Amino acid sequence: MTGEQLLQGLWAILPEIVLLLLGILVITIDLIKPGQRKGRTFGALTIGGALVTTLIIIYQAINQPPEPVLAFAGMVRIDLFVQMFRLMFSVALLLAALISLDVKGVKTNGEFYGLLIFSTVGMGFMAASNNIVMLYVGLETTSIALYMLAGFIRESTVSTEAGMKYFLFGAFTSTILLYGLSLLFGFTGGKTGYAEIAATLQQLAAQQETLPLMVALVLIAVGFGFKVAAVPFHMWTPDVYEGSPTPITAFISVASKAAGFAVFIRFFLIVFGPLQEQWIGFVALLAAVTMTLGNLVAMQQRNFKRMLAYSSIAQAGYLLIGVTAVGELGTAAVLFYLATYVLTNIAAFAVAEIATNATGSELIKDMAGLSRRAPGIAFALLAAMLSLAGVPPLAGFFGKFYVFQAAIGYTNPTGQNSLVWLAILGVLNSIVALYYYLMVLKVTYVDRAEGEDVPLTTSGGFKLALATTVAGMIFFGIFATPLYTLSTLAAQAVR
Amino acid sequence: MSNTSFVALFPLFIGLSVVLFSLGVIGVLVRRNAIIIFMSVELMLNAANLAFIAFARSFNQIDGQVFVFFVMVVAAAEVAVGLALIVAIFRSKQSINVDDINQLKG
Amino acid sequence: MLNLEIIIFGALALITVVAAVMMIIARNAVHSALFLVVVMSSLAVFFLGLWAPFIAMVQVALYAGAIMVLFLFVIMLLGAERAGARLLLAWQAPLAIGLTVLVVLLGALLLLNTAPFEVVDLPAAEITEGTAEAIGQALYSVWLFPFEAVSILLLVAMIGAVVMTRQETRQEARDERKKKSL
Repeated sequence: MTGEQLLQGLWAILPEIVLLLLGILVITIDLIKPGQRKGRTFGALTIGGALVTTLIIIYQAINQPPEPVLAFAGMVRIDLFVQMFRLMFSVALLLAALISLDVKGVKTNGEFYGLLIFSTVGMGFMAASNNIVMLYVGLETTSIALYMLAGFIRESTVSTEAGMKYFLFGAFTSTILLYGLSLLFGFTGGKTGYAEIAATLQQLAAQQETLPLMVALVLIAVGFGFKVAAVPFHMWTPDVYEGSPTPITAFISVASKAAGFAVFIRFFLIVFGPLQEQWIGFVALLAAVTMTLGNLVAMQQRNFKRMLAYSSIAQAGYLLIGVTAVGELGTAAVLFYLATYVLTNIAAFAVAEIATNATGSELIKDMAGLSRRAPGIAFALLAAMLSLAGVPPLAGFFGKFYVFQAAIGYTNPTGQNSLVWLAILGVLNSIVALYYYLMVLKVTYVDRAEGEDVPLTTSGGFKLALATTVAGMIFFGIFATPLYTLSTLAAQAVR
Repeated sequence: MSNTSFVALFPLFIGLSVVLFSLGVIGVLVRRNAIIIFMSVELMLNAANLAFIAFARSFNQIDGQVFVFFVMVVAAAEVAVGLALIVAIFRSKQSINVDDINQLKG
Repeated sequence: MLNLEIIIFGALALITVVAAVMMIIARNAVHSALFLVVVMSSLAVFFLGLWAPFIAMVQVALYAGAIMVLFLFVIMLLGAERAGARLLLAWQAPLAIGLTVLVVLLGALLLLNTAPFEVVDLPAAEITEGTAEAIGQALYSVWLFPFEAVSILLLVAMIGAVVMTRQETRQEARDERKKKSL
């Protein structure tokens, strides 16, 4: 490796380096500073660092060369697709840190912010990976930090329980993924780079030797399915979402899911591209089951965080439709959807935390009267629920619109529009989902509760986070084009 | 060591690896003790390692062995974290039976 | 020559599989852990036979040594030898075994149907042996980046393990009490 190559490589992974240094800084300060005077130092540092990282990513994305940058012997590949995912991760980190500022048990804890930052670094590696070794290392870095964060509040039995369930399930599925990778490694004659594997698969597909490859594909899909919370690998989701500290729930539900989709898209479109005809049916089925089951079970939930968990499973189903509709349209739709989903879901979980703090209960019925106690918070909830349901003029509407459009526009090699049924099922599901999102709004806006004339005071971190996300939802709902153009450019860069 | 050692038996290595992996999956699904579930996951990891090493030998290259090296490092990290979580949950619930750890339900 | 190899392989494979089964069905968690050590040690012998001496060494030192000792330590620390001895929920067992039979059949099918592995018997001089030197060369050239990335993973695991198991310090406990009494 020459000096010039090294510099180019370091520049390519600058966002991860900045975050890594930030994480180490936070941990070190936590060790040095005495207990009482820690205050919000770490939260502020994390927010500042995430902001700097976001700016670096934006600068890099603007100056992104048209050809993908392959660095460190082809281990990482940086293109616009990766930059867009990095942007989502760092914004998610920023917002998660903002809503952690006033959460009991984590707000002044340096290790908490440190682990949050390290897991974001892992996500960056996942999205940028161009080699199965790198994929595995990135995935594990992300997951291991998140297991800890889910179980972070040791005094709370539900938090440790969430941590352990997440861990056992995650370790199990990531091992299945690893086995799939080992089979893929074997069937392709010892290739580890994505491009080399894809080239070999092309030959094998031409010789019709696809059955063993399908076994590897299914095993790998299990690992990715866990990350994105797709049915039937979703069993951990409700428990972990309910038990984890709320900022972590929000972070897992957006950033970890986005990272899962980054590798899902890269792997299935590029590496398994030659097997497209074989896997489309499989992933379409996954999408259909995921959104239907997620929505049906979400309707029966009484706990708000649990309802959001099933709602996020359903959202994974809609996103999988975009993956199924292979190609630029589908990928661009997924990217747009994910970007708006980051804002929406973090807002929803921030409101969940505020309501829980105010009433001491996570049940939906106890959110009654919120609109009179805190009109601003209730408005944020309104925006988040409507955006999740896909009601115009909020950003979530365009996400769904583009995904369904991609499914309808998809034509298989024989020229048929074979995914129309999936789009119709998606629309039906959105209608069903509207019911439970509106139920929450009915409780907050219509139902009466005792003590509803007591105004609810909310701290600055929450207010800022909610203001940002709601502004984002409305902005991207009205001016969807710039973000969609960026998504399209990023989708073009995948190949 | 003879240079021919084990080469003719190559498919058997993959067969053994599949059997060990399946046993690990059974262990995860049937046991209720969190530590034994975790040990079953380790068994699955070992099965994957065996497959990697066997493939690396058959292609006469070293990348498979390097991958196994990484897997081992990851496994070590995972064990440290996993056992720490198990200790934490034992302290709060006095049990590591996954049937008792079901406060979250709905 | 081949017969001897088959005998060695067969014996070791038998030990491995039996130990793995025993690990799963043992009632006592300590026994399970010890059976897993047997599995790992016999895998190390296979690794040696597959020209991977460095990995075999790491397998014994890291897996059978460090990791399993940690397992045993935690089992004994928690006194969890007999926890969860009851085997399974009624519906899970048939499901698990059915699934597994399916997987094994599928595996067998794969092996019989497709033989993409053409194992060429090379003269010893041409075999790439995974010595410490060869692995080190690979790690510090092509695999440098994942190698560095893994150090982050280890840092995370270290921090995490400390956070999860740390007892409250005396100072923090005193602060807590003071807060409560106020």
